[in-house]
Amino acid sequence: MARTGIAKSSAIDEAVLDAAARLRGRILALMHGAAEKSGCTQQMIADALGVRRGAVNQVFNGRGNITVNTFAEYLGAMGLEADVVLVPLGEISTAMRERRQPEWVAVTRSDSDRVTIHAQRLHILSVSSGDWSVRTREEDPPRHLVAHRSRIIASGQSASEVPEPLKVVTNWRS
Amino acid sequence: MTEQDPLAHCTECPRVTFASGAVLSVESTIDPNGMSQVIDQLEALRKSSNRRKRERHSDLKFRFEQLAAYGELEVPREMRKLGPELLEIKTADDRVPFYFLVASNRHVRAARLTHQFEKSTGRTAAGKTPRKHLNLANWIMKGDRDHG
Repeated sequence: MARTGIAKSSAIDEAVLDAAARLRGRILALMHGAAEKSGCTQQMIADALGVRRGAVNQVFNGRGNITVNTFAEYLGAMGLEADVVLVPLGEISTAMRERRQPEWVAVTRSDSDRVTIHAQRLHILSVSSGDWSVRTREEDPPRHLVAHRSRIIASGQSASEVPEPLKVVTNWRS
Repeated sequence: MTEQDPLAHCTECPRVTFASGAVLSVESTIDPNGMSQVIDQLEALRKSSNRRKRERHSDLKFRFEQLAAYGELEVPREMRKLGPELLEIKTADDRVPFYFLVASNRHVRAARLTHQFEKSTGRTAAGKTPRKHLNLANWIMKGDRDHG
């Protein structure tokens, strides 16, 4: 990669290294969770991909820096695929500390589509996130969750015992 | 320009908090000599000119944040029991023994890190934690309890 010769600020560098570590950690957690949920053993994944079990073990131990293709192949072997969302730098740590969902930054048409389908209200907030304004949208809960709750209640369970699905709050930059 | 100190120091003792979350805080220990080895070891990684070492520090930092937020790690095998009280955080390259502190007069619900060592230089052929590191962790844990 060509270097510009401009020294990176050490603070930025550390923040980016932390973000990379979180991404690596998240990918590792997803792989372990996927293997557990799908019931796939490392041997089954190795057989499906035509690689040694030791190679699969290395990936599951978090050694090395797996490529996007490798990640997709491993998930594919477990019948899954990954989706990617963007969040402001440092948001994952903050959200984890506050035990809440990270706020998304929608930058593409497909990101925006996801949040506009059930859009009801739109607020423009003056959030200090660079030069971009951050918009927050509050949506109704997904219809399938509402329908699922209705079915449970129709089956005889008391409505007070079945929690209502939460509203979806999404932020994006414009 | 002086670098900002990113460590959260306890106001009443020499310990520092590496991460704090909804479940607990991840803190340093004080050994019987009054020193805190893990602070120096983690700071050496953080400030290293070697990028790989700084990446290892970031990997550990993320595990500390998870532990503080949830009381456990998202990948259960990254945490291992070493003894009746002693546990260990495992990343690809590093090991950090620690113990859970239920309560003291200053700190409530904490994971106290004893020290950090690199896996490649600190493992036996069987993959077990070397005796010298277990002994060191137990020695630091005892000293830390004495400090309250």
